[in-house]
Amino acid sequence: MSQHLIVLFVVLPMLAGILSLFAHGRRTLQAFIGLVFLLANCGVAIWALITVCQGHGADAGILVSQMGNWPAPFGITIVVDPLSALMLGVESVVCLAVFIYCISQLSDRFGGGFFQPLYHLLMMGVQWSFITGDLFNLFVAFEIMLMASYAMFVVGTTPQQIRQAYKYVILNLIGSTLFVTCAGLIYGQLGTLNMADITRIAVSGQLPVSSIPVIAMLLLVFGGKTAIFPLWYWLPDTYHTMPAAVGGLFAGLLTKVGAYVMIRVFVMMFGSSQEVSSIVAPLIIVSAIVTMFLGVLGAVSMHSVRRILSIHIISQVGYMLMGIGLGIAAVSGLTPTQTLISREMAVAGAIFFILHNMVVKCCLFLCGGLMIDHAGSDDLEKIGGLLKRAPWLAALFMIAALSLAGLPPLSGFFGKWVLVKESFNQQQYSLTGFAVATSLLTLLSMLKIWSYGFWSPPQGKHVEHPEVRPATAGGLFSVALLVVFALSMGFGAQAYMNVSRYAAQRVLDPRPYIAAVLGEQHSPPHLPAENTVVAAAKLNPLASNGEVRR
Amino acid sequence: MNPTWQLTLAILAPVFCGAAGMLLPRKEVGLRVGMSVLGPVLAMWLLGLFVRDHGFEAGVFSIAWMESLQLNLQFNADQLGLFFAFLVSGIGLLIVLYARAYFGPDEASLFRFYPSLLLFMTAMLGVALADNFVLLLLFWEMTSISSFLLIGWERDDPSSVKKAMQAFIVTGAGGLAMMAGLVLMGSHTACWSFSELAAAGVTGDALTTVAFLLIFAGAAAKSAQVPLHFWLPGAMAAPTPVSAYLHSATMVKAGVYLTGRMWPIMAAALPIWPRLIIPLGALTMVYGAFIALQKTDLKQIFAYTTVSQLGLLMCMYGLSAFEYHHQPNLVWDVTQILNHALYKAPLFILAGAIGHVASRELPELKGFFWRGGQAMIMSLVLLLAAYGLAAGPGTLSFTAKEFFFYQIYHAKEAIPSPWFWVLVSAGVATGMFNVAIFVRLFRTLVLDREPSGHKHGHDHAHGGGHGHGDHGHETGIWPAFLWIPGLIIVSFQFVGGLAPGLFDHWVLHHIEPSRFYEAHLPSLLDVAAHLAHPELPLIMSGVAIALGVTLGLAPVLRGVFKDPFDHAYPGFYTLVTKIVGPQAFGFVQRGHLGSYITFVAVSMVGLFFWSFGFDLTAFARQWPEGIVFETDQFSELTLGVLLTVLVCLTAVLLPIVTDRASRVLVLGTCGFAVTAVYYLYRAPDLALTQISIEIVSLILFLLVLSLIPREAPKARMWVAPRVVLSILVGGVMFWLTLTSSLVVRPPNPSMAVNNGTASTLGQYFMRNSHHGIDTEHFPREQLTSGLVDRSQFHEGDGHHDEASLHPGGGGDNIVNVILVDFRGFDTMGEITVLALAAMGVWTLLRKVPRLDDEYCSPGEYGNDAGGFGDYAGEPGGLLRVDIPDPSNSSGDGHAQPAVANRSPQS
Repeated sequence: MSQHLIVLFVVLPMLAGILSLFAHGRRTLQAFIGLVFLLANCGVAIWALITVCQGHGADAGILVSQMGNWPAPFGITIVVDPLSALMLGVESVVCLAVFIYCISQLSDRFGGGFFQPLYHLLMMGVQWSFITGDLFNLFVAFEIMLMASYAMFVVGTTPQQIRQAYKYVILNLIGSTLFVTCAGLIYGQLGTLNMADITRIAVSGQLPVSSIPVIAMLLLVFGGKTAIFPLWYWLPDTYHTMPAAVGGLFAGLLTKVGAYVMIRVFVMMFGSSQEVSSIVAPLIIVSAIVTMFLGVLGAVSMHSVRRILSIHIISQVGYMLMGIGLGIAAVSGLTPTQTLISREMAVAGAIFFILHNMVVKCCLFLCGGLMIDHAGSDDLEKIGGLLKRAPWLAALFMIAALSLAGLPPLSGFFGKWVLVKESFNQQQYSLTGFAVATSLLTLLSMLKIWSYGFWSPPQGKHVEHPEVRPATAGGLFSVALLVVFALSMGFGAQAYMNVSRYAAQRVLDPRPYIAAVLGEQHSPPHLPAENTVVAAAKLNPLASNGEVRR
Repeated sequence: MNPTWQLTLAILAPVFCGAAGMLLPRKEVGLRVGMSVLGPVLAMWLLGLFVRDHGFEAGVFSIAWMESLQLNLQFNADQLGLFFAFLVSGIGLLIVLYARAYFGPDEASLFRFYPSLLLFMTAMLGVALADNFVLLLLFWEMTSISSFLLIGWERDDPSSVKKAMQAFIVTGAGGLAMMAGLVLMGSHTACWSFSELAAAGVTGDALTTVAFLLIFAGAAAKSAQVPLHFWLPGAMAAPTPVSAYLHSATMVKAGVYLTGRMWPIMAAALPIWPRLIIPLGALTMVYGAFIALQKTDLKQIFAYTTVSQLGLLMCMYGLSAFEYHHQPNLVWDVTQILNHALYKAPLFILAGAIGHVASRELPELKGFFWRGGQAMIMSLVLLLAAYGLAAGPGTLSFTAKEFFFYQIYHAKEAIPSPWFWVLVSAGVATGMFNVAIFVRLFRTLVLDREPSGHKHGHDHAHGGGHGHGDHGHETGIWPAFLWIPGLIIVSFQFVGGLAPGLFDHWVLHHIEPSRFYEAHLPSLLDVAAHLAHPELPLIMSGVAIALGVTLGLAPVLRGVFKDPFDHAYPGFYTLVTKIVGPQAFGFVQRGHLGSYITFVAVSMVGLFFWSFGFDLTAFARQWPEGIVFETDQFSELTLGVLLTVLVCLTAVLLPIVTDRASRVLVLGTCGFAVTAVYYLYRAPDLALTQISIEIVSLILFLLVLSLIPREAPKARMWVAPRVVLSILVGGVMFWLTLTSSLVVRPPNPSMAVNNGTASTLGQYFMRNSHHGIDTEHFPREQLTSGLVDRSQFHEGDGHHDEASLHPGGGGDNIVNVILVDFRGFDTMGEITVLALAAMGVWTLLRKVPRLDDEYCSPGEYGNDAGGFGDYAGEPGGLLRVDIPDPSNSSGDGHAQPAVANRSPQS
């Protein structure tokens, strides 16, 4: 019965949004409402994560609720499986931290108006995307997320920034159009929009031939949301125009939702279909290489903190794509069991990387915001010497930056380690090479911010900015919260990785998911061809220590 | 105590003390020094306890940490590791004291110096003892971080910040290569630590070789092998205690240490080992010594001799691939490593001390020896250490150099003749340069007695002196600590050289298993015998000393050659951040919307054809069968075709018509035609929705037109490609739609719930819209006209009590039931979208100054209005934003969901 509580992931932010809309103009009251609901949301997320991780046997750690109690493929299903639960768990904490930052650090110009209601509704869209089990419903969730992001763009921005926002809106509208068209076409091809039902069709090998191009089009849709190589344009031109807090929220959540959906769709739904994977996987891998490397080249060539950070989002997405690609690509030279474990680890690496990135990227953006508030500018050629003025900020930034650059034992390292390992195992050496090179340039760009922002004295004339306000306790607290979280993901990486691996197992073998949503009798008895060994791998997230061995 | 924890504590002791030191109040300099001294002392004490209990060959100790990520607290406390650990903590202790003297009682400097230094100490202890690959990598990168923090000590000096970045990037690149190598080695051999690898043994296959090369790249970068050596001279921007500790005695040895760890495992198995390492080491050795001779700054001289010495150490490990009398050519190379630390650390310590009281530039140090008591002591200690650098007889260094020459000599059979003599010449040349440097130092400091006015000029030459402005006036014991640590360390040189037996008994006996060399002379009698029958190594030493003295006295090779690698990192940085980065990224990120949309469209078409494998015959094969014209629906079809033609026509017209008003009208035509299609195919609800949207948006567009600038934006692309691209995109959508509507869907058993007969969503919705009664078989006219005879529904339905539970949706209109019940969750979302849009629009509108003045009370919105003065004068405000083509956004946000909602009932 308690599994219906998962609807709270939508209800809580919606209530928070509505209530704080009614408290319009009273920031303190709004902040209070927001904090209460965000804390409650964190509680629900933690409950869901624990419940999912404890799940064995019949319910298999998957929480399902049918909206309106219509049976599965007919109504709308919401599902929290280990993957969703992980995303929600980290996302809820990130949202809480950013919210604390916003209410304490943002001026009325940015944090006033409809900012707080929009914040909650954006979060509602994000959480909705994580829990929905229906392709069209996912579109709705994306629309909420995007519409909230459009609206947040215009809070406190200047006309120049709105000009940039226009690109963002148009490109995302094109993406949405494509999405809804594809959803319609998929319904036309398969007669259902329920994810579990589509997965069932794919697993039992019944995808019509003509549906393959339509499914491939989904790559365009979700690739656009994730900001992968030929579709990322909306991101670099716009993110740096936003206040850093909003940038942090978007950086931490929006592209990660895209990456999550790519795992959900291309690994879980269609991963077992050889026809789809053979088309999608090479593209994902090539795109991963270009995305990570070109992205980081763009990032190092920038001169402002926010630009470096926002272009870095793209580069980091490349690593997630790498994991997804390795999770579905054809593998040669490994036994079926090794293949399976390698895929599992690759997807687990991608999931871990998403989680790490949510926290660290967001944290860096918030640091960037505090830097701007201290220095009055985020142009690295103007600011400097912040170490003396804000030593705590410097320390926090350093940890987050090194974490992003992937130095052990910080969180970024372990995701990279697993991904690099699996790319070796699967003999995708070009991926390995670019991943390592990207990592070096990431380090360079982080050192650039550190050296010019925190160490070197300000060059040229110091520009007084009207918005200079030193870091508040709340601002620093939120950054510290995220840094502590990131540290826990580093020093306790094994726990996070094990849960990620559990999530990856559930995604690579979607039969429990299908059974939970559609009922036991509809779950296919076995997976096609090389995935059959899945059943051998027993699922205990708290003690899975297997390794890939040749 | 568990030995693993004991080692872990020993490793962590320094950093704990450093952190504890940060908690002390800033004024407490004495306490801070005490706390910092405690770090290495604790580490040594714990290590000593460990050795007492387990000896020097204790083996591997492990505690699981992250097994699934191959990271465990696994230490290998063998001779090499323990030797390094003692070296690091021992010299570290003296450096802590030296730093106190160097910085003087400067609270701020010491406050931030000690934690970084102690962090490094922990990292280096970890590197020395770690056995697990990931653990090694962890400490390895930690040394890079602490080195970065310490090189960039002089934050106000942009050049030293750049040097810090350079060092981090070079060693970081090495670290990444090493990571890749360790991953490859681990996943190839399934061993994740050196001890496992040693037990399992390696084969010389390609993957192992690649893995070794990658790991060695990391070692070479850290140990400053040519061509990656340039970061080390750059690192001299750090304060001298750092140079003495990190960049000569310990950290740069990490690469050598790693090579030493690997050689028993790999040297014999991999043919590339000697072929790569010997030439590289020899080149570095000669090159470093040669450049060192050119320098005049003390720290630069010693930095390059460090490079040279690191090359020599590498070369020795390269030579150790060869056997001599069926024994390894060498085991741990401890003598040479120790020897280098024992003269190089004092050299740096004294360079800093002399720079502190006078200058580090040789021309300014003429006759420094004669400038008073302290100068005399400092010069003396410096020259003693430099005598060690020159490997003069009577020092440990001489023995070590003989070791090296013997090693070359022993490899005579393994190395083909010309190369052997090249190696011998390289050894002699290096020795010669080192001797020349000593001679030059001696001559400058002692023999050149030139009256000069540079007394007590403070050293600001290379960012070495800072934060100790008033140090010169400090009295008490501390100033002496500028040279005491150097003297202590260098004295071991002479103990080792003059009393080899004692040295052997104390040190070598425990840690160097292979001591059979001829050069190892336990007593003076042996020396005499040795001199009587000189072998090649002794001759080499003699030649090197003779040539070196000559070269040192001759006025040649001073400041002639500059190291060309000085430009390597700035070049790389410029290349990446100013040329390649902006060019490559700018190529795709062009900044205007048109190109982005083009990219997306091209991707879409490309993706489509890729999904067919670019095989056009697949289209023919996939051509859907069953396109049948039914004559009874002919009238419907005709109308449909006409409307379709109309829609297509508007689509073609849109880009052709340039006038905006006409475009809006064409767009409206399209919308109304679509409305008609909906109506024609019996979807009155949708038609109604669509027509309202069309009317509203048409009116809005026409209203907005008056606010948009007249001139249309110019197209940035040729016409022909745009036409082709548009047709292709249209074609793709056409094909997808066609196949989707005609496909034979897979049977769906999961829909066979409920009454067991529904096979599509549509049927289910029909049956369940109204209280679970099947509306499917109702007369079509009744359903389409909406005039359903309600009384029929309740026939046969046992109980029509409203309060009882009905499975159905409870509505007459299926579309309505779908919207508010079956998929009510969607609708809730769409309503939220509308609310969000309203909030966005309201926020935008408030920014139009005209509206602000009229409708908004200033108090309610805080300081908002003030921020937008820059465009307050413009009528229209934000609406004047350049909007190239409004047709792109037509109705997408709201019309599409409404259309899509239809899909489940089709």
